[in-house]
Amino acid sequence: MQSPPVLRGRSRRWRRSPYLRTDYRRELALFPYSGPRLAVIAVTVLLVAAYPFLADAYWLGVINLAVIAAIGALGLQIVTGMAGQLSLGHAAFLAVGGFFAAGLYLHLGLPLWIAGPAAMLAGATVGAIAGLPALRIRGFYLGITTLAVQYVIIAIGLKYQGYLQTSFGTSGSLSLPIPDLGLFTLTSTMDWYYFLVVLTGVVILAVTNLKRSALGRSLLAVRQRELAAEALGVNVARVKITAFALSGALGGLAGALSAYYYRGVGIEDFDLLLSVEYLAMIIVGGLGSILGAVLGAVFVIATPLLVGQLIAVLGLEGVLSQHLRAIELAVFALTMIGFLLFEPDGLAGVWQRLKTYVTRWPFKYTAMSTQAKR
Amino acid sequence: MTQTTVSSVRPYEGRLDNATKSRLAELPIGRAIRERAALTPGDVVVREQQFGIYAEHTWAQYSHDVETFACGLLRLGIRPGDSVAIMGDPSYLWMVADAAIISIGAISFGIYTTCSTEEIAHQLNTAGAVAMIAENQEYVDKLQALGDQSPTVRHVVVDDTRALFGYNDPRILPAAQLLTPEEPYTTTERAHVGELAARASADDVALLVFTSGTTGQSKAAMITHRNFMVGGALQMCRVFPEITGPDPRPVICHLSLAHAFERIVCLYSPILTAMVVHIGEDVEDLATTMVQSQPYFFHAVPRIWQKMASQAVTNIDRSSPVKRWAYRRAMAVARRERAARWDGKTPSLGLRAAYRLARICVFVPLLRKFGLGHTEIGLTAGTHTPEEVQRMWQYWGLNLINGLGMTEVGFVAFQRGHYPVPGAVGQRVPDLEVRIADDGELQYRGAGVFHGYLGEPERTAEAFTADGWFCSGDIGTVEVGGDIVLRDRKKDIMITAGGKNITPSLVENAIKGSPYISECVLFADGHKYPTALIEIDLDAVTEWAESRSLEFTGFTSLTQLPQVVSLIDSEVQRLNEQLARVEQVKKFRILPKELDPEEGDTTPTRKIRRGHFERMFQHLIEDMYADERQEAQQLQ
Repeated sequence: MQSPPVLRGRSRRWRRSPYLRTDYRRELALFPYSGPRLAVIAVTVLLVAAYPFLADAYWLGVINLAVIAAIGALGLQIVTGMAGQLSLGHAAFLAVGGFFAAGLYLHLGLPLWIAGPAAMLAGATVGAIAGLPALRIRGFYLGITTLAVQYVIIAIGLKYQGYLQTSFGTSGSLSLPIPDLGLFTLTSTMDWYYFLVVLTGVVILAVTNLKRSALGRSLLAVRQRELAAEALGVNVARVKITAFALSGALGGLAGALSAYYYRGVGIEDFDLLLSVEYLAMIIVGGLGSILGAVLGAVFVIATPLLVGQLIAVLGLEGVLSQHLRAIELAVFALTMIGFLLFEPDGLAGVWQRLKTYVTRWPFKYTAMSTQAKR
Repeated sequence: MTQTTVSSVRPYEGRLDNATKSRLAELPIGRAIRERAALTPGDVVVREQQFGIYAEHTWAQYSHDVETFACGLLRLGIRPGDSVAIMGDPSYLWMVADAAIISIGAISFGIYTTCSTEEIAHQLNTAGAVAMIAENQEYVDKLQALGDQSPTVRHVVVDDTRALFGYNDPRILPAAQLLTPEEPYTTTERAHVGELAARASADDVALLVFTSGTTGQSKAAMITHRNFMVGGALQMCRVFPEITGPDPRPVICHLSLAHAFERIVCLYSPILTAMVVHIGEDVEDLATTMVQSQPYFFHAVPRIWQKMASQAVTNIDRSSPVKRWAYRRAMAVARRERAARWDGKTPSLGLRAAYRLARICVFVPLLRKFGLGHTEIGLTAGTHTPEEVQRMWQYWGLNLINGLGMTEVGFVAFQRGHYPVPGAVGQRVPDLEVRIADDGELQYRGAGVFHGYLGEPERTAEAFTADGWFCSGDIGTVEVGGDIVLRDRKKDIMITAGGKNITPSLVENAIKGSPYISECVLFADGHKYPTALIEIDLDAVTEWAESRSLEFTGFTSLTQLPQVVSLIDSEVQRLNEQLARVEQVKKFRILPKELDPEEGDTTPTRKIRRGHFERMFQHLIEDMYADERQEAQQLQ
């Protein structure tokens, strides 16, 4: 017989399909492997590592603030984004963390690496207490009670500051030294940058892990429908308190970090506006999304400063300097309204849509032949 | 089911040489499986998905399970020459059961899951089945519905017994009982299976395949070991040497194993090749299985190829302007490049480069969505493939090859090489002789030609010439290059009132080139002009209607939308242009219901039963020829 023509194959070697699973390990992977995903992660890591060499000290400082805020925003994301419990008092947790860290230094001389975890514990405790009303009430009513918690904390903070002044005088100021982490100190902005970026990376991993765990799934179930979650065997009360505690812990950490970053802390900084800004971060970023919390934090922190810079660049400083704060707030407000109107899924939603557009190319949605037979 | 999970990183033991392949093909199936298992015990042969993950079965495991199951069958009192039915969707147990039945010299046959009750009774009684292997309770119910119409069936072995509570039929027993009996099989019992497998001759009848029966009752074709091993599997190896390795070649088992095509490809070809059979969680969810297993070789009936192509086209129609533009540009390049190749020319360098770019940008992502990104060979067989469909896949860079086969002959012909010209039948397989009778009928002789129809000596005699050639019933010619050209089925030609001969399959296939039309049945015999009944493609037309915000509630309401009627009308007009004037469909009606084999509208393989069909939709046909009747009345 004549030998048949051999195909000039594209890939004559067999490549195992990445979707062919012979055990459940891959299904549980924290970051399911895929080429594009690895590439995106690699590029992100490279950009993050290179950023200090590309940006000046001012913008490096801006990102530092944004990254601290991102940790706090991730905390709020857990309770409001994932568990669906409205929290209007997130600034309270930051205040607790900041004051706890500063107090530990003032009274006991404890450094950041002890004060940080301690602030998280304190934040978690306050968070758990603040979460108690959530067992009985929902929605806006819960929002009001969390607001109350914030005012209680502010009142306590004022009393404490008053106490310091009467007992210690000027030596009782809540200022902090250059943080000493045992192995190294955070002297320059760049030191801070790498420290914060690594720490945020750890927090992101932890929250990502939380999201796929039983607890994370319970949080989402509670958000979707409490009754259904309960019917599925979720202990709603425990889940809500845990969510508030975790939120408080991350808030506390962010508070402690910002206290050390500013080398001081004052209760006036933790007003209602800060709570609203945190809420804005997760809404602009995208409710429930981890990436969204980070993007939202960067957006909310950087936008007003960008507006300021823009005005400076345009040479309008002289004319507008008096109204600078008002303009910043207006821009902020307009973007918020814009997001709520046009992109309720936030920046994470935009990213998701972009991804979908590319991965489904050239289709609108993935072609599926479900009933190809019969 | 016992399973071993052998790590897949294990080195693959490689291809079999040609001599080994030929030797294995000449063996009876039971022995061939044992010998293959001895040659490559650690290679994976089947992956079956259960609860999301694929359980891997090696050749050693497969052969062992076959032996165990065979011991169980012997204990049930099944003896060489008995016949056993298998009913269910493809599964590892189906494969094991089939091989086990054949190993002990019994005769295996599959029953389509979509068969009507009468058809099941007919098949069980024709074969005189003593036992039935059922996938699950659904098929037990079908058997029980027969009551005492199936007197020969003594045992019903059920794989999935989860829904089998409250059944007190003494014939029922779980398959697990055969695979892991309370009293383990002795070495003597196991040795006996080996003896029976060795004692069989390759020319014994191994299995029955019921032909679809578009006209009248289905017939049981008796198939010998050699018919499918040499006439089927070995011919595939010869035509597609790539499937023999050296690497594992994933294939998907998704068609009915009662059909000759799937049996040859997924049950017997792996014995000679490097094919690894993948069985998904659910045959209905073929798309997922395709993406997960990424077949090297994907075979399907034309209907599936057509369905997928029409999904792709309608999906792109609805996507964003940029995507549509990219697709249109890519298609423009593809049309020119492929047209040059089909003409036997080499496209210019620029055109080749442009096509390569089009592939990277548009077609590869498209194929990947179907899990066909790594598919080197796409095979379409079973019935005629609309030329339009084959052309489409080739534009997209999928090497879709047309195959011709018959239950009674095994594989008859394949197209060869890379991107063959769409629509042609191809060249005969190496080990088959073809001749043309005086009336133009194609006749075949070779290893694949079957043994006869069980219990029907007259019809068997009709099927063979005096000198032993099989009469296919197809009218055709063999061209100089060896290409077989099919003209028509012998009995199928229609003659219009004007005396013109019309080949219905030709017209029907042309009309089925539309993504919105899934079935077309032509009427012309004795009428002035051809008309057609058309079944719309539910998915494609639903998409089309949804994208235009049309309101409908279900299939029937969809068919009655005036917009849908005009859509089908414009499609028919467009496709009519390919046809000669006398062949053009002048009128059509859309079928108000989906055709369903379980209601007897079609055969289990979705072929139209004309007689039944005409009775059922008589009012529609009469409506189309109303003017003819009026004329006739006026004349009177």
